[in-house]
Amino acid sequence: MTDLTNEDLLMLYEEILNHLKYLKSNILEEEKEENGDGNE
Amino acid sequence: MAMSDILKDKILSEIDIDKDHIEKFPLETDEGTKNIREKYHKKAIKDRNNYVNKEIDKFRDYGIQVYEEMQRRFKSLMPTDKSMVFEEGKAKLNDLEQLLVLSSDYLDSEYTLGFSSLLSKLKEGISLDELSSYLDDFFNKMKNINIELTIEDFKYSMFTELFMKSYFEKSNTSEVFQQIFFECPDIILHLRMNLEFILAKYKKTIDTYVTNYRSEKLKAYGKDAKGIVLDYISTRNNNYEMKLKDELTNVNIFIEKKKNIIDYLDNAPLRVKNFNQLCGDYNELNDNLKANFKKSIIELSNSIIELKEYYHYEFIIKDLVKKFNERSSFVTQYNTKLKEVLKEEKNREKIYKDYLKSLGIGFLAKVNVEKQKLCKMKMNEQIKNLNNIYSEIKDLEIYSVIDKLSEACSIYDLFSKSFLCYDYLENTFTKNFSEDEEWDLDKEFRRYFKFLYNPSNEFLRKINAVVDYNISEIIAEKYKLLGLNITSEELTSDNIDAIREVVNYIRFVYNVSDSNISFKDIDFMCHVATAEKIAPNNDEN
Repeated sequence: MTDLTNEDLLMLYEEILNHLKYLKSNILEEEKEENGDGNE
Repeated sequence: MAMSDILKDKILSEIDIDKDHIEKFPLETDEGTKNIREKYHKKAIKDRNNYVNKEIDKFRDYGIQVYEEMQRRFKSLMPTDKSMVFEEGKAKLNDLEQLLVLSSDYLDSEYTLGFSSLLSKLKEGISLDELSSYLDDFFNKMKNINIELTIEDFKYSMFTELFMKSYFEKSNTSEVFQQIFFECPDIILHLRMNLEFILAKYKKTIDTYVTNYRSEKLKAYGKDAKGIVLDYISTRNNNYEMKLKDELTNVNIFIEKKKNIIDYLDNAPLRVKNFNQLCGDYNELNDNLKANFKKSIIELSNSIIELKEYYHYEFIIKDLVKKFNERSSFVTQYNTKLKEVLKEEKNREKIYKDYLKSLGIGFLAKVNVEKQKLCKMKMNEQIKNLNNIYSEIKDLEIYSVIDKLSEACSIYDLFSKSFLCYDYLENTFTKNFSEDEEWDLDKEFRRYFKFLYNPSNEFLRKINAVVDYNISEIIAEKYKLLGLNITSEELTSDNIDAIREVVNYIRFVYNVSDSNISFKDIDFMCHVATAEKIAPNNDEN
């Protein structure tokens, strides 16, 4: 197991940030479920 | 946690898995009724969102771990603060500068002890408070030389005597000043001339004091005047080199975005262009030629600093050369004026004595108010007359000083001799620089002094001042011989800034390369310094 170089660490952080953006952009809008008992 | 390549591979592979899973996640079904299909869709969205949110939390944690590791490396790379070492170097240089002023053959006792600078401040228009503070300063300086001034020293004119009486008694100074001012609007001039007269009167004592003080200080330091010059120059060089190679300063230049790190990395277009501008193709040079190139660039960079200062003071050397060539008739005039001023000082003394008689002081003297008024009038005229003669002497003094040089004198000899004529330099500096509101005479004198003791001012010492020379051509020739692509045109005062930028750039690359941090490390630090920080929870959404 070798330590990451500084360049690899920066690249990995960049990938994580991009992936987080990707994940956030993939959250879909959920429709609210209507309950028959009158509660929201 | 140490950041291993295994962890990196794990994270990158999870990114791929996430993308694949999200893209292939079935959100619709063809089976069942419309209602069933809609329910399936809603549930699928919810399930996918749950998955995505779980992954967001996980990747946020990864991000925080990586960010912390980046910060840890940033801190370990951050160079130590050497301010204390710099302060020590600065203090040592200041001490040596004082010793240098004291031991310099180019400075007279009045300059060395700060009298010249003090007297130049006694000008028409200063406030009474300023006047009192300058007088206090003058008295203190004299006291340090063991000269206790009394009212007897201030009988240059009846006005100086009257004012100084109130100064000694520390009473009604303001009223007395105002009362004198109506009869003698030039009272400040009278006082300044009185102080100059005192300095002339005690010149021998002052010179002896400086000589003794100098030997005492030199003895304590353990070196002679030459040794001090060498120590000063080497300390100034070391301080300068140390500052240029200081890792913290250089890192901060990039972190504070004063320079762009992209322009300094290996093979950066600007780096290639600047290196090639001065040596053709840098990559074609062998190791030996690269080492020579580096040495020449460092020398050229020092020469450019010196040349810039030379251009700043070029008007002085031109004036001095002109004066040197026409000096003979002016030296005669100077000597004539010295005799004339002695005669006129005697006339001033006579007016003062007549005034005393008109006050009824002295053998057979009678009070005569009309004569008192006449004497005061005459004194005002005589002081103006004396001031004119002294001004002429001060203007001519430079001829007498440079007359002691031979035709073989260097630019350096001429520049340094001018230091003996404080008034000449004061007038020349004021004429050329005083339009700048920030300009300060004392600072200019210090800059001029530092220019003369610049560690790399060799060309000033080598060029004959009275033979026509082209300074940019001489410097360019030297560096052409050392293999640099440089023309005299690039080193003229109008163009020097452009080549200075290129040379400074290359020298900066060498400074960082010779230090304990690399441009690669600085590049990493700049990325970390500007990296977006991940918030530890979901709040940012």
